[in-house]
Amino acid sequence: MKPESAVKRLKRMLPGAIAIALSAIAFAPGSAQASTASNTVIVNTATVNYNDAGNVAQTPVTATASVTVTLVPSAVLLSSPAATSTSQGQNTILTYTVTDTANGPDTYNLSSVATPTNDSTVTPTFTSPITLGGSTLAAATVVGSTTITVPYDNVVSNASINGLAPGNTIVIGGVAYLIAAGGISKNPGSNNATLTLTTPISSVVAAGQIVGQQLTFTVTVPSGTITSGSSGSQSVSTTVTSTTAPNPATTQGTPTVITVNRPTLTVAKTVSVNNGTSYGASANAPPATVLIYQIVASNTGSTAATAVAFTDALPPYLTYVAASGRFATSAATGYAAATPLVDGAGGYTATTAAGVTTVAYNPGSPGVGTVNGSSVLILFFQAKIN
Amino acid sequence: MTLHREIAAARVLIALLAVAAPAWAKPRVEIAISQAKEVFESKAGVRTAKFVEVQSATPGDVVQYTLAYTNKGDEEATNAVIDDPIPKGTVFLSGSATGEGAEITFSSDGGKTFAQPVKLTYQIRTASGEVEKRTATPNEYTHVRWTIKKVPPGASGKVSFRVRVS
Repeated sequence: MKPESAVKRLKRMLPGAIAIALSAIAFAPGSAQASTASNTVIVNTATVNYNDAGNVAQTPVTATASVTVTLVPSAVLLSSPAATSTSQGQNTILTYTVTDTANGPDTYNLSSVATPTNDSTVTPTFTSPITLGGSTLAAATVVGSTTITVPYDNVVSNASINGLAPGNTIVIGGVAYLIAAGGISKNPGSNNATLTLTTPISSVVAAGQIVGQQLTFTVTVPSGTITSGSSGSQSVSTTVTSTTAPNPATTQGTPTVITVNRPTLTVAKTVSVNNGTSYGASANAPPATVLIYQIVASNTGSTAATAVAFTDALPPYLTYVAASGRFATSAATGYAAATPLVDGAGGYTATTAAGVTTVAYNPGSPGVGTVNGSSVLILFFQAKIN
Repeated sequence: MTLHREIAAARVLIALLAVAAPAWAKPRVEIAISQAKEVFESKAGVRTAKFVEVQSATPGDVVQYTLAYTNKGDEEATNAVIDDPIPKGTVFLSGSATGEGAEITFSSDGGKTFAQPVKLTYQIRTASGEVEKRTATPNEYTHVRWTIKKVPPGASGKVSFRVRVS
């Protein structure tokens, strides 16, 4: 500050209404939650101007003191992935969105528990810890601008600032933006940095508000083994905890319910002694009658059964009728309308060993051997009473 | 001749030194800043606040800056004016400025003008276009100024103020 005469200063300080014209916006008091980014150095410089006994101005002297702003850990914002379903034996990958709400970078530990219902206990897996960058606005945002100003983090490199790097997603006032490539420009002289975004600012956010990194992470949840019936579930609850005391944590608001399904196959075998007019579990027939056997594999579960295969060893006193095999995928289809099978082809065989004929049908998956939930696969063949 | 000239030159030099000598008596004011943070401790159920010197602070902390001045010269310093801008990232705490024997004034316009709190006003243009005069609140202060009329040789003093880290 330039030395000035005491007279001049006295004039200036004369009592009276000293109206100071101010821009109301520039000096508007900050909001209550406003904060300064961690690693910001607050420098206080005091200047003394003084005169000698003869009232001659002397060279001013200055002194400075610096305070470095530290991190105030804060609980993250965490999404709750939507409920989903899976087949037993399949892993479910849940994708979470997490957003920093602290004034600086912090490291967070993940934890996740799955509570089973009619299912076995499983252990979700994930990569932990995660780090999220964070800063605060040094000045209010300007709608339409593609730049924001944040405090200088006392690190010269433009590669990142307070853990935020080009390509990162940042959330300002609830809106997500992307830091442009090469979009960090630090100005140590002004104790701030300019971040360039890939899209313009859409709303005014006050100085001091958080600029928080947002990213996604995944949690892999095994299906477990269903205890009984055709379905069970895993209720997944994931928590993100700051590693900085007092370790604020966020648990997802609504647990994610994963319904686990499995196929449930039942088999029923009936016989017709009247050429397919009616089928029953038992019947009476004279020798030389051609019987039609119907074997129904029903999947009463809600998920597909794959590689469904039939094997039927004929009892004594019966002779397999060559090329009599047929299959159907609808319970309403009778023998006459069923699709013919060729002996020794398409997974269908009728082989005789040691006097016993075995009919086998293994059409394989994908294909006929896949029986969807609430569906059937029916095998027919004929045998004659000796 | 030559000798005489040199003696004459030396006399002039001595005379000049003799004239300049009284100007050597000068005030020399030095200043130092210390910063302390308000911390709370509970002893036997009684919560007390105290200030400890710090290098770092978290948003919300109260920091007290103490400016210690000394006149290390051999002449009285007059009209010593200590100016301290409220550091960016902090907000001045109402009524926290102290300074024995000093006149304390504030600025809310970036150091252009200083006045006592009650006289610190500014004008804004309202939405209807009218100009309205308002009194600046302490969180709008930008500078603190202490004016000390006389600092005798060897004398020292302390002034202080507090801010909240935002």
